[in-house]
Amino acid sequence: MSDRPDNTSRCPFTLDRRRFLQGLGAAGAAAGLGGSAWAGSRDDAAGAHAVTGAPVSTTTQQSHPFHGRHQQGILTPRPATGMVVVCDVLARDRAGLERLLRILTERIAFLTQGGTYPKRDPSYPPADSGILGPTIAPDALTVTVSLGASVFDERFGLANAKPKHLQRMTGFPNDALEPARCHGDLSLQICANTHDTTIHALRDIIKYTPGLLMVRWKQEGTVPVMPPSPDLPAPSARNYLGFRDGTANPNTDDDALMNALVWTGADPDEPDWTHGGSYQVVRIIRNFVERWDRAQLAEQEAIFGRRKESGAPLSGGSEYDKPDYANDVDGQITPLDAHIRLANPRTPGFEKHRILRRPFNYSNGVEANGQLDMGLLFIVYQADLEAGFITVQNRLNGEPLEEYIKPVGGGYFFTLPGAIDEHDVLGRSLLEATAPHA
Amino acid sequence: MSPRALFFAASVFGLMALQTPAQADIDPQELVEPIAEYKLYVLDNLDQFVSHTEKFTQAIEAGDLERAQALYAPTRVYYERIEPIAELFADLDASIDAREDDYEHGVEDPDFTGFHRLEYGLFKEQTTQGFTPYAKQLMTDVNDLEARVQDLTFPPAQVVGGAAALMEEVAATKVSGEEDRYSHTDLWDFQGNVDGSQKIFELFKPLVAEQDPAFVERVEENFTAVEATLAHYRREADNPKAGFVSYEKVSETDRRAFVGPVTVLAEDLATLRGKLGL
Amino acid sequence: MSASSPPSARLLKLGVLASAVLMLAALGLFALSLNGRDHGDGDVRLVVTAQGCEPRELSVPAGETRFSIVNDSQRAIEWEILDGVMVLEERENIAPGLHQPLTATLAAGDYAMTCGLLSNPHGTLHVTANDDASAIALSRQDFIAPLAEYKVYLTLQTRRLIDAAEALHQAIAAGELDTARTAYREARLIDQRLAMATGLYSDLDERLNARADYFAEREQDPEFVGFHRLAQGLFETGSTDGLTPIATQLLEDTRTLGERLRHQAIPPAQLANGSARVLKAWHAHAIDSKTLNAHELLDLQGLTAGAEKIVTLLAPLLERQAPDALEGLQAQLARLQQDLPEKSNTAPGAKRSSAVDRDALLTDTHALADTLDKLDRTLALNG
Repeated sequence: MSDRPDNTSRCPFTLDRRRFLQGLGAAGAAAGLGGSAWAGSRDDAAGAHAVTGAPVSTTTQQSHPFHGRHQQGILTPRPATGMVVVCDVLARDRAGLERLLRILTERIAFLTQGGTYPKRDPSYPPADSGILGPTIAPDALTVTVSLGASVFDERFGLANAKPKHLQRMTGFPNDALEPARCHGDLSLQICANTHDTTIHALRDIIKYTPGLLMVRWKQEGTVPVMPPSPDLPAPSARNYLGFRDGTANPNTDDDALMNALVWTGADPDEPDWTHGGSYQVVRIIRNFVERWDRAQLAEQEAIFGRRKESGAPLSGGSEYDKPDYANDVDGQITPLDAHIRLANPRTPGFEKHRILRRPFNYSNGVEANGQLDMGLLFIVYQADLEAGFITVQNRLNGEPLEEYIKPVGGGYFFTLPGAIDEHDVLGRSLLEATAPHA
Repeated sequence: MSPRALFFAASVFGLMALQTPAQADIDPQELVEPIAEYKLYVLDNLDQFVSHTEKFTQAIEAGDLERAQALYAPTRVYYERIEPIAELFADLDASIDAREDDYEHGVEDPDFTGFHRLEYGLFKEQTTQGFTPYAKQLMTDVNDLEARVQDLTFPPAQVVGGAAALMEEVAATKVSGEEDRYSHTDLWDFQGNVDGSQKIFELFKPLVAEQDPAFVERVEENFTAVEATLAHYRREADNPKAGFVSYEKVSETDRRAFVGPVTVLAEDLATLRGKLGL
Repeated sequence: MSASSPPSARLLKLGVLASAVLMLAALGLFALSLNGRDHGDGDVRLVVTAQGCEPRELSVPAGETRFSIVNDSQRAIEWEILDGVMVLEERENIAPGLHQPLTATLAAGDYAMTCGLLSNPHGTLHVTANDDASAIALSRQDFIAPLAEYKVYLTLQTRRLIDAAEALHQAIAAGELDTARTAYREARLIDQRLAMATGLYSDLDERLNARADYFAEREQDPEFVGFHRLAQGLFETGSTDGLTPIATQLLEDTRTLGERLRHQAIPPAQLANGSARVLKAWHAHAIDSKTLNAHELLDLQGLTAGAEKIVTLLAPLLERQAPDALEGLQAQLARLQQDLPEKSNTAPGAKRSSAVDRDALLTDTHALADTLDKLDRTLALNG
């Protein structure tokens, strides 16, 4: 696209789809002049690129194995950037869906391991956007594919195989859901060490699935990076309200716990094909940060139930110490409506309602009123959607935190089991379970 | 097979477009005839464009609001068909077809002229009052365009690339209903873009058919799919001249239904230059 | 990932280059020899007698060949190299007893040669393959746009020619002499703009444009039809009598011309070379007239308009390859256009041919034709 300002009296916004034929010659001449004005054929003086030289990372070669019983991006340590892209599936027959799943499997297998794109005759569009150069590094990329309830309609013959709890997300009392940022057939959670790696992966997938996927909405997010620390476990990252988030997550090294809380399979009422998958909940939760920053520290801490600086529970100790509610039945120390107390009252039998949080912070721009549009890209995984997020969120309805937050989008999805080897395809168990009888 | 079903069946062929393309082995001489034919097509459409613009601008000057409204969309169609060539002349493209978003002061901008300025008057303000200068300017610009195109040696790369460019145009502004936001006659423009793209494809098809029959089949199927969805919204099924219903009447599902085949067409047709060695 | 491995960019480039070179060599359009052969010694001699060519068959290597055509018959002849019905090269108006050189660049293959009278049998020209085709600067891609634009021009002009031929036919059939004369001029002017393209088809060119001199029985020859036959009736005899079948045939021939041109591939070399040829043919004929008559002026107007289109089309390429040559060419064209009377001057009663500078017209036509003739070489060898 030639985006030079033109010479008419019109505004400086150029019309990118309009090219100025007569300008071509002039532009060529200008380019020629530009070349001669900057004498010297190379710009490699030592300090010449102190400013624009690429920032250096030592973690670009980190990679997570794509193949396995479960998809990556759930128990995988959360990297610094992530995004959720929710698409509608345009291919509305089974063959199209199969093709889509096969392409996604191929693309993700390549992208997450890194490699070099094939070169094409330059008269063709290139094989890749090229934003990371001809050879891409894995950069800890994960792409996690999940399906929304709408995929299990009549289009693909999957209606009888819908995961037991999968449903269209319905608004909670404090929600102000915008239709343009809700639901969808298929979600892609894309995470990596650097933002550009996630963007590259998204553009690759879009380029290779024309006519199969249409992006419905997308939300990018980050988490603040910290210097390496000898402390174990590492402190949780902070959200945009300044509090540590995810402290009470279940231990992901505990396989039995993960099989109980994260991976679907224990419930005999779930279809067999879901085993090894998980329910994914995505919520875009706007934070009213200007107002929050004007709230008393004591009020902020009471709302969360934790110390802001250390992340320790109000009942004392450090971040990973369990809050003590037993000796605080009427909420003198930790208010009964504090966020963490509502979300997990630590009562016997509540263990089954625990969820695995894997959120990112987002920042989108500015609202019409001049306030910042930022908040939490809330992502959680659980083996049972009802027992997990829905139960917890219903407990949170009416919490004092609601004054400072507003969920505006999101959806429920079912994360497919992993592709176990290079012959496997994401969604194979689902397709096999629903294959039409010959 | 219902048109919808046809569309869905057709739109799933996406990936093949991305297979590593074969080396172009087209004799450049073979491109001469289709490019010449394309210019003749453009000249024919320009001819029509001029005479339709005459009637349209006369209606405005005569203060006949209803007639001017009725002629708005049928006149634009000819421009939309030949956009890859018309927009080579950026000054005229701006004065004939720019939208208010292209100007700093929007509708009020003194430089905002052409079809969309008239659209605002005819459909939003519901008047022809004071629009005679815009009508005269439009007629002058359209005549100027015809004269310039007659003298233009068509650049082959732009002609071939035009097939994809038109589908990009559809993908970017037609599916969203931004193009004719007051008249809601987007489907006319949509059809014009599709016609123009299809014409280019048809002209060069014989040259790529042997090299890549799957490509040809896929593109044809997706054109058929788009046409089928468009056909749902014709005012009269058997009379293309009657045009289309308001874009507001297009269901959300069908708006998204366009996206599949349109995207595949854009992606596929983007390889046409490569296939022809341009 | 796609499984097939792509050809490397370099291989691809080589392939494209190689195929371009091959295609060029095949057509032999620009594969001009760079080795500066001594033309005098290398001439291929061919004698045209009243009965035909001697020898009947010739064999030359692909590439550039200089022929020397000897007219050993009793009347002026033209000599052409044909590819099917398509004229590749020709030399007109070779006077009895004299010889003329003709330089042609030919690709391997078999061609036909005309041998004097149109009724004489054609000779055969074998062109044998030749490996050392030389490199070229402009790619064949560069000619796509001008050739396409030329096709558009031909199509639009042909449409007008057919319309004009219809009007002419109508006027003649109705016996309206004045209307027929006006219609004739209109049609002839367009016909001459198309002269180079019509010249590609020996049969059509003969039926539309051949002069009486080229027929055994001259004006009385039943094969003598077309524009010159109509001109003879309308302007010399001053009657439409007996012209209707000729006009019908002419109309049909213009339609055939339109049909053929629609799918005709025109080799790039023909653009300049072909317009040079038709200008030279006019010159060769006009140089014999003491004063130029209105028909000759009209023809030159049409031819010049045709040449102007070619110059416009080749200008962007010349600008790149040889800007000086372009300037010279444009100057020569402008000079010739200035020499020519306004179009209206050929109308009845207007300033007659005596008012134009015959010598200037002849000189400037020849100069333009010469420059056009060298253009293929200029385009191919520079850069």
